[in-house]
Amino acid sequence: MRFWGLRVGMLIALLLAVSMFTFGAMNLLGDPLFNILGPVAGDTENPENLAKIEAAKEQFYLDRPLPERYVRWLGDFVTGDFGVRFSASGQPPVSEVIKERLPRTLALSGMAMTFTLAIGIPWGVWSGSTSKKGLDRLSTGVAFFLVSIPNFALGVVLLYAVGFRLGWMPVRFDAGDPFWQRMHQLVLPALTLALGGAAVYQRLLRTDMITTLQEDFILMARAKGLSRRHILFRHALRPSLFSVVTLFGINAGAVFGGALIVELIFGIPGIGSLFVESIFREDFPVVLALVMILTAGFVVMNFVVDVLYSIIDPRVRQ
Amino acid sequence: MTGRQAPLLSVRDLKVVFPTPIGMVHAVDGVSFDLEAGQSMGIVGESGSGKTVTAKTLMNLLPSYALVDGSVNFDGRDLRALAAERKTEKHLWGVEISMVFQDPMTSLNPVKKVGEQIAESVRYHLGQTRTAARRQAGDLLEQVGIPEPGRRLDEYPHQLSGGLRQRVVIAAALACEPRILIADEPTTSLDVTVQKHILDLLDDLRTARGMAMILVTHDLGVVKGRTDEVMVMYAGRTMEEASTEAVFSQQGHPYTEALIETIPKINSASHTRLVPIPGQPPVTTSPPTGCPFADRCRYATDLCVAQGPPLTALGNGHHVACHTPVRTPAAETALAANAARGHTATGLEIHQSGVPIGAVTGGLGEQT
Repeated sequence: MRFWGLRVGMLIALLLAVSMFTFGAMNLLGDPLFNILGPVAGDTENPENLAKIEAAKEQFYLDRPLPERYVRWLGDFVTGDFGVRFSASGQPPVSEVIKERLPRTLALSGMAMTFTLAIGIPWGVWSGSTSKKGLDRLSTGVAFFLVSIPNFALGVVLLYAVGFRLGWMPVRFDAGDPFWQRMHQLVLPALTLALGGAAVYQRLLRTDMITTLQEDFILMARAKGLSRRHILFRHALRPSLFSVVTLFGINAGAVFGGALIVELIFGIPGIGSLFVESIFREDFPVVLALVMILTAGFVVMNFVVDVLYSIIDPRVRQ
Repeated sequence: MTGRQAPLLSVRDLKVVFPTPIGMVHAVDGVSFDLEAGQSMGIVGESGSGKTVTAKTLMNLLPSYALVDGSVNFDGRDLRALAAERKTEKHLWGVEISMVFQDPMTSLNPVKKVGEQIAESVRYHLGQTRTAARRQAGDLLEQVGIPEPGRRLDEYPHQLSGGLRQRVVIAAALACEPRILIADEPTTSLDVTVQKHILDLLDDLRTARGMAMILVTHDLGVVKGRTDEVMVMYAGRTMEEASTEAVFSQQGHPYTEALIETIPKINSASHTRLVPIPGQPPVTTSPPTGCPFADRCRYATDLCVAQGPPLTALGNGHHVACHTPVRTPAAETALAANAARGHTATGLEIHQSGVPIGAVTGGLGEQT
């Protein structure tokens, strides 16, 4: 119970700190009035425009001091109201925009993480235990290649080869609903996101497997007459997973970052593209909401990692 | 051995060679022995004598690059042929022959409950259900003398002491009722106070189950009074083979004699120096033409250097590989001659009394 209390307390403290920081930073960034009103915002000579400016300032609380605006935003945020967009109409509200776009990014990231593990772990187990030196060297080469090439290059090549040439996968993301029936459209983008990570996991797991396989308890498992597969997956894998699990938590942020580019390449209207647009349009409420979501996501992922640690190694449980 | 049924385990001219950067290391160099059902046997030798490699060969645990020659027969089955096509003989290692390892701190999987580690082979080999295997694991824990077995089943290795862990290792090795148990230095890494308990336990379990046991150790004191037979190994070869009693009362090999001298005696005066064996065991990249022990032997003659002594029968199953077996006229003559010239045929300096100089100034014995 105390454990959970501490976790939730940490999440709240972190969200507060990040939101304050972001709120302050964005106000240094520029004047959102231009995006709300257009060129009119600079024209304070004309009384008609001045009135418009004053009205907009009041509508978006831009005439209030920063702390007050922050507290007002926070009050709305905790009730689930993410506020209105900084645009002439303020429509649709931020929560609507996010509700539409977030599931796509979540599905993409989730699928990418699954692929990363599903490819990286068996690959690492195999290369850490094989006695075929030549094949292992080849796989090392492939891994370094995958780690080195940037996401966009891999994405474009996959798009061209699998999408255009082979025609196995749709080339463009079709945003029509119901979206959950279109999950297969995410396979290529998720693979683009996953391959680099899978190669990194393979490198880490390979090294740890080689170390684990020299342990005495592996010799004892062999003396029990267990099959190779049984020894690799039931005895050697779990004690070798620490680096992979650690990276899995840290990598969560990188997956979101990568999703941003991959969404652009494959034309997926997710939060990645929304993020970029909003920063350039100084649409602060949207940026703030996204930052909050990413922070929460990151904390939750690392909480999952801590739970995974204790599952993997009983010595961590106290 | 004649007139009786075929032995349970029969090893003939076993040779194991490891290719290494410094050359071919002959870890085991022509070892033969038999083990009857229910019999216990000690394999004794220093580090690098080939005793552990012999045990690993029996368990099919050698690395794939090891070169093995000779035959290993278990109950009419050729173990080396089975090892080569291991898929067909899934239920032999860990079932009929199993092994207890040296260090219980590292030989249990740190992330698995001890109950699982014991029940594992029962489920894997005998196809028992989870509950049946768990019940059996509990019984085994009780048999190896672990209090509150029901609670211990769900504990992890790090929650147990070294002695308890070794009991768990033993329980896991016994899970499938093996006919041969190989114990490789089972007490070396344990507290002295716990060592006797574990050795007694192994003895009791062996008698109760009628299984055969091979006790591998560097310490002759461990096999004393416990095993039926002892095989003394040096540089991958058998130096002496005899009933345990004969090894202590009428040992024939100078190496065995030297090993016995290294055992601290309870009735010696305090601060008596331990008697080390001078020199180091050879690294056998090229098998010596003569006796491998000659360099460290106070009896060494020119014949010992020129020609390796074959394993010769002395009667009553007592075999010795030595040109000048201890307590024979040949040995007396050789020792007297060496003492007279101050050194042996290999140049080992010795006192007039026949004690090698290195035995006084040299380092301690092995620290495995």
